[in-house]
Amino acid sequence: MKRDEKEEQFNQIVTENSERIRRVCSYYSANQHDQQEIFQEVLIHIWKGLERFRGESAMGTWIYRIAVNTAITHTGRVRRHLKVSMYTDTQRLSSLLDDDALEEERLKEKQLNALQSELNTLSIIDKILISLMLEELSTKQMADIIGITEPNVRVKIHRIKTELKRKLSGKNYGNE
Amino acid sequence: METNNLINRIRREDERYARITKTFQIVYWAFVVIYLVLIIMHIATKSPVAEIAGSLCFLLGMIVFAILFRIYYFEYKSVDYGQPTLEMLKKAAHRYKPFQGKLWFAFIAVLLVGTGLSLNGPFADFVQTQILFWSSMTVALIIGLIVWWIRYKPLRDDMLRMIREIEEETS
Repeated sequence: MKRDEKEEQFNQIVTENSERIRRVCSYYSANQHDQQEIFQEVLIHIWKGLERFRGESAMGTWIYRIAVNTAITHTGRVRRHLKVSMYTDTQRLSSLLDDDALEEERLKEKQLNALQSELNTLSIIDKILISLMLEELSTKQMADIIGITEPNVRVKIHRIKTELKRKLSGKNYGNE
Repeated sequence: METNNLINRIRREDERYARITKTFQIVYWAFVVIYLVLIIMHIATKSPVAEIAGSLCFLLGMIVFAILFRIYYFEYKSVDYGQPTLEMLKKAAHRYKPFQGKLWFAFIAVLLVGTGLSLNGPFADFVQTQILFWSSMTVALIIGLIVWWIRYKPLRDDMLRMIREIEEETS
């Protein structure tokens, strides 16, 4: 691939996907500076991987793979241990709690805050799955990104949701 | 524009890596040439066979090191973040393994350099030279393992734990 062609393709990818890359980066760090660093590193890996990209997976899946893989290894390099934290807005989080029992808005907000805390107690792989769920990806896409089977993704998501609901329903959100 | 700045940064980084690799390659291959010249000189001056064999051992050791360096460089350069996470983690865990199959070639190179050192000196010094050489190599190995233990083992342990987490519930 010629340098000009590569630059053109790269610019196009960045223009089309920068928002989703930034979003994925934001799930793994609350710090703006870290987010920017991860974002830049994702772009570097996209640039370096462009010539290897053969279109075996969809472009979107490939970009998510790079974003997720960079984010999880970036946190590892900074802290020496892989300790991934999740941060996202409550509007996106509400998609995880589409439960009939959780109707009242006031309670829901408290629950979402509690959910944010609970998310950070999950394992890294569960956090990755949650971040991909928040991106509204299909189980097939999630399976392609992580490298596991679709039924496996479904089992894991079911387990995470059940576990989160169990933990949240055990909390008291009374009128304090 | 942000993207253009980034492309320039990548370009500079690529050039820096290329320069470092080139320097290492030049050093190793310079040694190879030096020992090749030494061997020719030994042969021309009808030096003892042991001295020729010693230089030959150095030469072979340097060639093995140069090739190993090239293999490691390409392995690290071609780390692919576009792979599925599980695959990437498995490959990374393998890269961070302290004892890999390739290490046998490094051991062969060290063995060749050690043999070369003894063959080039008087036979009376053989034991002393070997003790000194292998002691230094052992210290270097221990330092390497300590660095690995502190810097890379925690990362590798986390990677292995993540691999286990991803692979469970596969039924």
